[in-house]
Amino acid sequence: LYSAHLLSPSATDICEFQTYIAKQHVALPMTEFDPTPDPDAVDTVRQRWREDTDTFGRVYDTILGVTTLTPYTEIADVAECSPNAAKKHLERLVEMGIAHTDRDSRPAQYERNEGYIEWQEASRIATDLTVDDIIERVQRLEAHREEYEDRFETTDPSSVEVFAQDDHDAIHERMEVVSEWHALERDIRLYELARQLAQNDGHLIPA
Amino acid sequence: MRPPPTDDGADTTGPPDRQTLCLLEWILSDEPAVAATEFAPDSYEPRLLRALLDAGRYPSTVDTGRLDIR
Repeated sequence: LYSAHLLSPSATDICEFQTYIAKQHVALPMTEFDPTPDPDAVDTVRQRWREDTDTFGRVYDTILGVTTLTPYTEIADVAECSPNAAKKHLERLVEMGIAHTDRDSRPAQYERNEGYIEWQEASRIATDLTVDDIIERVQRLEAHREEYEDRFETTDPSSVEVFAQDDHDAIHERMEVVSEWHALERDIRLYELARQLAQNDGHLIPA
Repeated sequence: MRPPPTDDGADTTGPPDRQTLCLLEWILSDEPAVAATEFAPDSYEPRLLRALLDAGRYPSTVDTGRLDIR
Protein backbone atom coordinates (compact mmCIF):
# COMPACT_ATOMS: atom_id res chain seq x y z
CA LEU A 1 0.00 0.00 0.00
CA TYR A 2 1.14 3.50 -0.77
CA SER A 3 0.58 6.00 1.93
CA ALA A 4 -0.46 9.56 1.21
CA HIS A 5 -0.55 12.03 4.06
CA LEU A 6 -3.05 14.78 3.45
CA LEU A 7 -2.52 18.00 5.25
CA SER A 8 -5.69 19.92 5.78
CA PRO A 9 -6.67 22.06 2.79
CA SER A 10 -7.94 25.54 3.35
CA ALA A 11 -11.50 25.82 4.49
CA THR A 12 -12.86 27.06 1.21
CA ASP A 13 -11.39 24.33 -0.89
CA ILE A 14 -13.89 22.12 -2.55
CA CYS A 15 -12.54 18.66 -2.69
CA GLU A 16 -11.74 17.03 -5.91
CA PHE A 17 -8.95 14.60 -6.07
CA GLN A 18 -7.11 12.37 -8.37
CA THR A 19 -4.50 9.76 -7.96
CA TYR A 20 -1.41 9.90 -10.04
CA ILE A 21 0.92 7.13 -10.88
CA ALA A 22 4.45 7.23 -12.12
CA LYS A 23 5.35 4.59 -14.63
CA GLN A 24 9.00 4.44 -13.80
CA HIS A 25 10.98 1.66 -12.17
CA VAL A 26 12.83 4.09 -9.93
CA ALA A 27 11.02 6.15 -7.36
CA LEU A 28 10.70 9.73 -8.48
CA PRO A 29 10.77 12.77 -6.26
CA MET A 30 7.30 14.30 -6.09
CA THR A 31 8.45 17.35 -8.04
CA GLU A 32 8.86 15.24 -11.18
CA PHE A 33 5.13 14.58 -11.42
CA ASP A 34 3.20 16.67 -13.88
CA PRO A 35 1.98 19.59 -11.77
CA THR A 36 -1.31 19.82 -13.67
CA PRO A 37 -3.93 17.14 -13.04
CA ASP A 38 -5.04 15.15 -16.06
CA PRO A 39 -8.40 16.75 -17.08
CA ASP A 40 -9.87 13.40 -18.10
CA ALA A 41 -9.13 11.87 -14.71
CA VAL A 42 -10.63 14.88 -12.94
CA ASP A 43 -13.73 14.60 -15.13
CA THR A 44 -14.04 10.93 -14.17
CA VAL A 45 -14.09 11.80 -10.48
CA ARG A 46 -16.63 14.56 -10.95
CA GLN A 47 -18.79 12.35 -13.17
CA ARG A 48 -18.88 9.69 -10.45
CA TRP A 49 -19.91 12.37 -7.96
CA ARG A 50 -22.76 13.43 -10.27
CA GLU A 51 -23.91 9.85 -10.73
CA ASP A 52 -23.70 8.83 -7.08
CA THR A 53 -24.98 11.98 -5.41
CA ASP A 54 -28.22 13.76 -6.22
CA THR A 55 -28.44 17.52 -6.67
CA PHE A 56 -29.39 18.22 -3.08
CA GLY A 57 -26.48 16.08 -1.89
CA ARG A 58 -24.02 17.91 -4.09
CA VAL A 59 -25.25 21.31 -2.88
CA TYR A 60 -25.03 20.02 0.69
CA ASP A 61 -21.48 18.71 0.15
CA THR A 62 -20.52 22.02 -1.38
CA ILE A 63 -21.97 24.31 1.28
CA LEU A 64 -20.14 22.37 4.00
CA GLY A 65 -16.90 23.68 2.48
CA VAL A 66 -18.08 27.29 2.12
CA THR A 67 -16.87 29.38 5.06
CA THR A 68 -17.50 32.86 3.68
CA LEU A 69 -20.63 34.28 2.07
CA THR A 70 -20.58 33.13 -1.56
CA PRO A 71 -23.01 33.84 -4.41
CA TYR A 72 -25.34 30.92 -5.11
CA THR A 73 -24.25 31.03 -8.74
CA GLU A 74 -20.71 30.06 -7.71
CA ILE A 75 -22.03 27.32 -5.47
CA ALA A 76 -24.06 26.03 -8.42
CA ASP A 77 -20.91 25.84 -10.53
CA VAL A 78 -19.14 23.68 -7.94
CA ALA A 79 -22.21 21.54 -7.29
CA GLU A 80 -22.68 21.09 -11.03
CA CYS A 81 -26.32 22.11 -11.12
CA SER A 82 -28.38 25.01 -12.36
CA PRO A 83 -28.36 28.24 -10.35
CA ASN A 84 -32.08 27.92 -9.71
CA ALA A 85 -31.69 24.39 -8.34
CA ALA A 86 -28.79 25.47 -6.16
CA LYS A 87 -30.77 28.40 -4.75
CA LYS A 88 -33.78 26.18 -4.01
CA HIS A 89 -31.68 23.64 -2.11
CA LEU A 90 -29.66 26.34 -0.33
CA GLU A 91 -32.87 27.92 0.94
CA ARG A 92 -33.89 24.51 2.27
CA LEU A 93 -30.51 24.18 4.00
CA VAL A 94 -31.03 27.62 5.54
CA GLU A 95 -34.40 26.51 6.90
CA MET A 96 -32.72 23.41 8.33
CA GLY A 97 -30.14 25.60 10.07
CA ILE A 98 -27.23 24.16 8.11
CA ALA A 99 -26.53 27.32 6.08
CA HIS A 100 -26.63 31.08 6.58
CA THR A 101 -27.69 33.53 3.93
CA ASP A 102 -27.46 37.20 3.12
CA ARG A 103 -30.63 37.71 1.11
CA ASP A 104 -30.02 41.42 0.71
CA SER A 105 -27.03 40.86 -1.49
CA ARG A 106 -27.48 40.45 -5.22
CA PRO A 107 -27.12 37.67 -6.06
CA ALA A 108 -28.04 36.06 -2.74
CA GLN A 109 -25.04 34.67 -0.86
CA TYR A 110 -24.71 31.64 1.36
CA GLU A 111 -22.22 30.05 3.74
CA ARG A 112 -22.27 27.14 6.14
CA ASN A 113 -23.63 27.73 9.65
CA GLU A 114 -20.63 27.18 11.92
CA GLY A 115 -22.85 27.03 15.01
CA TYR A 116 -24.88 24.19 13.61
CA ILE A 117 -21.80 22.28 12.56
CA GLU A 118 -20.19 22.67 15.97
CA TRP A 119 -23.36 21.48 17.69
CA GLN A 120 -23.57 18.50 15.33
CA GLU A 121 -19.95 17.57 16.06
CA ALA A 122 -20.38 17.97 19.82
CA SER A 123 -23.54 15.90 19.67
CA ARG A 124 -21.66 13.08 17.96
CA ILE A 125 -18.95 13.19 20.61
CA ALA A 126 -21.56 13.17 23.38
CA THR A 127 -23.20 10.12 21.83
CA ASP A 128 -19.99 8.18 21.24
CA LEU A 129 -17.94 8.96 24.36
CA THR A 130 -18.64 8.80 28.07
CA VAL A 131 -18.39 11.88 30.26
CA ASP A 132 -15.25 10.40 31.84
CA ASP A 133 -13.70 9.93 28.39
CA ILE A 134 -14.49 13.53 27.51
CA ILE A 135 -13.04 14.88 30.76
CA GLU A 136 -9.88 12.82 30.28
CA ARG A 137 -9.44 14.18 26.76
CA VAL A 138 -9.94 17.76 27.93
CA GLN A 139 -7.37 17.29 30.69
CA ARG A 140 -4.86 15.96 28.18
CA LEU A 141 -5.47 18.84 25.79
CA GLU A 142 -5.29 21.41 28.59
CA ALA A 143 -1.91 20.02 29.65
CA HIS A 144 -0.75 20.32 26.06
CA ARG A 145 -2.07 23.88 25.94
CA GLU A 146 -0.04 24.78 29.01
CA GLU A 147 3.09 23.62 27.22
CA TYR A 148 2.33 25.99 24.35
CA GLU A 149 1.55 28.86 26.74
CA ASP A 150 4.85 28.32 28.54
CA ARG A 151 6.82 28.08 25.32
CA PHE A 152 5.35 31.23 23.74
CA GLU A 153 4.61 33.14 26.95
CA THR A 154 1.07 33.96 25.85
CA THR A 155 -2.39 32.45 26.19
CA ASP A 156 -3.45 33.45 22.69
CA PRO A 157 -2.08 31.48 19.73
CA SER A 158 -3.10 34.31 17.39
CA SER A 159 -0.50 36.53 19.03
CA VAL A 160 2.39 34.20 18.23
CA GLU A 161 4.74 35.69 15.65
CA VAL A 162 4.93 33.15 12.85
CA PHE A 163 6.79 34.79 10.00
CA ALA A 164 9.60 36.51 11.88
CA GLN A 165 11.74 33.38 11.77
CA ASP A 166 15.13 33.03 10.17
CA ASP A 167 14.45 30.35 7.62
CA HIS A 168 11.67 28.54 5.81
CA ASP A 169 11.84 25.42 7.97
CA ALA A 170 11.50 27.48 11.14
CA ILE A 171 8.50 29.33 9.70
CA HIS A 172 6.92 26.06 8.66
CA GLU A 173 7.44 24.53 12.09
CA ARG A 174 5.96 27.60 13.78
CA MET A 175 2.93 27.52 11.43
CA GLU A 176 2.29 23.89 12.27
CA VAL A 177 2.55 24.52 15.99
CA VAL A 178 0.17 27.50 15.90
CA SER A 179 -2.30 25.58 13.74
CA GLU A 180 -2.13 22.69 16.21
CA TRP A 181 -2.70 25.11 19.08
CA HIS A 182 -5.77 26.61 17.37
CA ALA A 183 -7.12 23.11 16.73
CA LEU A 184 -6.52 22.19 20.35
CA GLU A 185 -8.46 25.23 21.57
CA ARG A 186 -11.34 24.38 19.25
CA ASP A 187 -11.37 20.77 20.41
CA ILE A 188 -11.49 21.83 24.06
CA ARG A 189 -14.55 23.98 23.29
CA LEU A 190 -16.22 21.12 21.42
CA TYR A 191 -15.53 18.69 24.27
CA GLU A 192 -16.93 21.18 26.78
CA LEU A 193 -20.13 21.45 24.72
CA ALA A 194 -20.21 17.66 24.33
CA ARG A 195 -19.84 17.22 28.10
CA GLN A 196 -22.85 19.45 28.70
CA LEU A 197 -24.88 17.47 26.18
CA ALA A 198 -23.77 14.12 27.61
CA GLN A 199 -24.63 15.18 31.16
CA ASN A 200 -28.11 16.40 30.16
CA ASP A 201 -29.29 13.56 27.93
CA GLY A 202 -28.52 15.44 24.75
CA HIS A 203 -29.85 18.78 25.96
CA LEU A 204 -27.75 21.88 26.55
CA ILE A 205 -29.62 22.64 29.77
CA PRO A 206 -30.99 20.23 32.37
CA ALA A 207 -34.56 19.15 31.72
CA MET B 1 -12.48 26.59 32.26
CA ARG B 2 -11.46 30.09 31.20
CA PRO B 3 -12.75 31.61 27.98
CA PRO B 4 -10.64 30.38 25.09
CA PRO B 5 -8.85 32.73 22.74
CA THR B 6 -10.31 33.12 19.30
CA ASP B 7 -9.03 30.91 16.50
CA ASP B 8 -9.64 33.36 13.70
CA GLY B 9 -5.99 33.97 12.94
CA ALA B 10 -4.47 34.00 9.50
CA ASP B 11 -5.69 31.21 7.24
CA THR B 12 -2.22 29.75 7.06
CA THR B 13 -2.12 29.07 10.76
CA GLY B 14 -5.74 28.21 11.41
CA PRO B 15 -6.84 24.81 12.61
CA PRO B 16 -7.54 22.01 10.14
CA ASP B 17 -11.09 22.34 8.88
CA ARG B 18 -12.99 19.39 10.33
CA GLN B 19 -15.82 19.49 7.81
CA THR B 20 -13.49 19.57 4.84
CA LEU B 21 -11.44 16.70 6.26
CA CYS B 22 -14.59 14.68 6.90
CA LEU B 23 -15.88 15.36 3.39
CA LEU B 24 -12.54 14.34 1.92
CA GLU B 25 -12.54 11.17 4.00
CA TRP B 26 -16.04 10.32 2.83
CA ILE B 27 -15.13 10.80 -0.81
CA LEU B 28 -11.77 9.04 -0.51
CA SER B 29 -13.40 6.06 1.16
CA ASP B 30 -15.58 5.72 -1.92
CA GLU B 31 -12.60 5.91 -4.28
CA PRO B 32 -11.70 2.47 -5.70
CA ALA B 33 -7.96 3.20 -5.63
CA VAL B 34 -8.05 3.95 -1.90
CA ALA B 35 -7.78 0.88 0.30
CA ALA B 36 -8.33 2.61 3.65
CA THR B 37 -8.60 5.98 5.31
CA GLU B 38 -7.99 7.03 8.87
CA PHE B 39 -7.84 10.18 10.96
CA ALA B 40 -4.93 10.93 13.24
CA PRO B 41 -4.96 10.92 16.18
CA ASP B 42 -8.65 9.94 15.79
CA SER B 43 -11.92 11.16 14.32
CA TYR B 44 -12.76 13.21 17.43
CA GLU B 45 -9.60 15.31 17.10
CA PRO B 46 -8.84 15.13 13.38
CA ARG B 47 -5.48 16.72 12.63
CA LEU B 48 -4.45 14.54 9.74
CA LEU B 49 -6.26 12.42 7.19
CA ARG B 50 -4.27 9.47 5.97
CA ALA B 51 -5.26 7.57 2.81
CA LEU B 52 -3.71 4.26 1.88
CA LEU B 53 -3.69 3.59 -1.84
CA ASP B 54 -4.25 0.06 -3.04
CA ALA B 55 -1.02 -0.87 -4.81
CA GLY B 56 -2.74 -3.92 -6.25
CA ARG B 57 -4.66 -1.69 -8.61
CA TYR B 58 -1.50 -0.48 -10.34
CA PRO B 59 0.98 -2.28 -12.58
CA SER B 60 4.03 -3.66 -10.81
CA THR B 61 6.17 -1.02 -12.50
CA VAL B 62 4.43 1.70 -10.51
CA ASP B 63 6.29 2.52 -7.36
CA THR B 64 5.27 6.07 -6.55
CA GLY B 65 1.87 7.70 -6.16
CA ARG B 66 0.62 11.20 -5.64
CA LEU B 67 -2.77 12.37 -4.49
CA ASP B 68 -3.94 15.82 -5.57
CA ILE B 69 -6.62 17.66 -3.62
CA ARG B 70 -8.09 20.71 -5.29
